[in-house]
Amino acid sequence: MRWLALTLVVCGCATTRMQHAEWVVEVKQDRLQLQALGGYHVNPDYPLSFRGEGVSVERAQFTVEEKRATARIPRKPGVFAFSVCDPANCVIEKVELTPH
Amino acid sequence: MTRLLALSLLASSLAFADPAPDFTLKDLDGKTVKLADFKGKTVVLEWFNPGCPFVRNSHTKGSLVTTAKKHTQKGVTWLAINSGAPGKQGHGVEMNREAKKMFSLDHPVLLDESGQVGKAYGATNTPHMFVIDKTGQIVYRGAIDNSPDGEGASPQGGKLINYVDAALEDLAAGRPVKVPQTKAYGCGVKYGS
Repeated sequence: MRWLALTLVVCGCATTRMQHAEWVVEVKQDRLQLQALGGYHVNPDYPLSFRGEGVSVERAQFTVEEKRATARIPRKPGVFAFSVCDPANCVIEKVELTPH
Repeated sequence: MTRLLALSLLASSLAFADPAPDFTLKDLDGKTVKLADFKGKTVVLEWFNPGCPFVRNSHTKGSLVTTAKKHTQKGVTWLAINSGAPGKQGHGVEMNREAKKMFSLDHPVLLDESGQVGKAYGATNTPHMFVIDKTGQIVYRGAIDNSPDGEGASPQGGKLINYVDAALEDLAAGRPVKVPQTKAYGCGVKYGS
């Protein structure tokens, strides 16, 4: 398995967390957060999106900083598409998320 | 003031139609390819890196799947150029040969390890596209399309526009290229310095 995926239930709040060497994606209630790790940054040109059945959260609805991108998302399953880069490499990922 | 503005606009439009810098590079079989040999033909230059996910997306799902074949059949010359330095992502004859096979490329992949050609053109991304008309002028430079995921799934404005296809259609019809410049997206070119 490429990613480490965890769902934690603490104080009645569910958190889904996926971690890779270059990034961490976390969903806590309706808040989706991408954190770039190490020398990686959020690719500012990539059309970030969270899409699923009847769900479409697009780039304009994300708050994007150098190392982090966040958005409010509906509590429905979807695919989060994003890209992070360092000076040598870019990574494009699509991860399936099921907010609780 | 109006005159100054007009002169400035003229200067910026001329900048879009610079003469294409000539170059001599080798392909993956060691064969020498000179841009000057294609004088009188429309040429497309595609900055290429098989390790870049945007290049892979474009060649497997996006606008680069069919564009080269469509236009080379009509007499356009299409050259991919890899300006990656030794040791950088996407460098090496074997890796580029594998990519050429995987993406079913019929056109040459040229190696520019020193990065001199890439820098002469101002290539910053992979893919970064340049269209050169029959007179040797660069008439389009920028992205392959308006979907910066490389796969055509997120076109800005909702409708996918393949800028290179549009530029080549304009040239074929004898029209000026309507969109001569866009912002390239993708990975940075892996220059050595």
